[in-house]
Amino acid sequence: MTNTIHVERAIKRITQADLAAAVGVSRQTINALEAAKYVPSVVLAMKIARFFEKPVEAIFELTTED
Amino acid sequence: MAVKTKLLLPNYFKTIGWIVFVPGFILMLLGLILPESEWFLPLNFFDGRHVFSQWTTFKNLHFDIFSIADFGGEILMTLTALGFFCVAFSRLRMEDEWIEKVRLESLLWGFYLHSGFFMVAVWVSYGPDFLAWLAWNMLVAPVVFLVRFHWVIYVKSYFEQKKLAA
Repeated sequence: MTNTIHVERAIKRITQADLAAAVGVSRQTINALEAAKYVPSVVLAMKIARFFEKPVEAIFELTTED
Repeated sequence: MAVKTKLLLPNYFKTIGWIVFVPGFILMLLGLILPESEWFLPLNFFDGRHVFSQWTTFKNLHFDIFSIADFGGEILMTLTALGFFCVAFSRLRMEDEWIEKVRLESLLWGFYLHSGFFMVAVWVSYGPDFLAWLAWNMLVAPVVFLVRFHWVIYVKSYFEQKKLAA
């Protein structure tokens, strides 16, 4: 699964720590997501999407390996 | 978050854990490395005279000559184990689903290596050497867990962030 969190964050001009605080996770978790090292739970994916005011699929995308 | 962290200790136990674990661990290592030497603490775990080396703690305990040497090793090992428990199983300041995943993976790593060392020990050692292997192997799971967990959460994460920022 890939995601555009890094891009969305750049558009909003917020840091990993800001996003982490907004969705209630650690900064390292946002980092792991951006590095595509971790696939989030549905709850976290929806929280992130809601924070960026976009549908989940606009931020998270399945890859051929999924 | 929908993550269950009920099984973990509160965050402040981590600090208490480090304070107990680090000195306990170092003293325990020294006690294992320097079994016969005259050292400033009576922690000769593998000394034949020492009760820890017998089948049970109390079997050979003579209360008329009771001293700290009889229980030094036991107290130290208990403190080290409790310290490890507090460090390993207390919540981080922000405990979430990814950290939970890393925690479980690290436990698996610890157990795999512990099992691996045990199997090696079975084939390469015998008698007292086997017991020494087992004693050292007691440390493998906790140490591997702690190193791997903190490495992924703090060190690896730091470098990944640098890479992303570049």
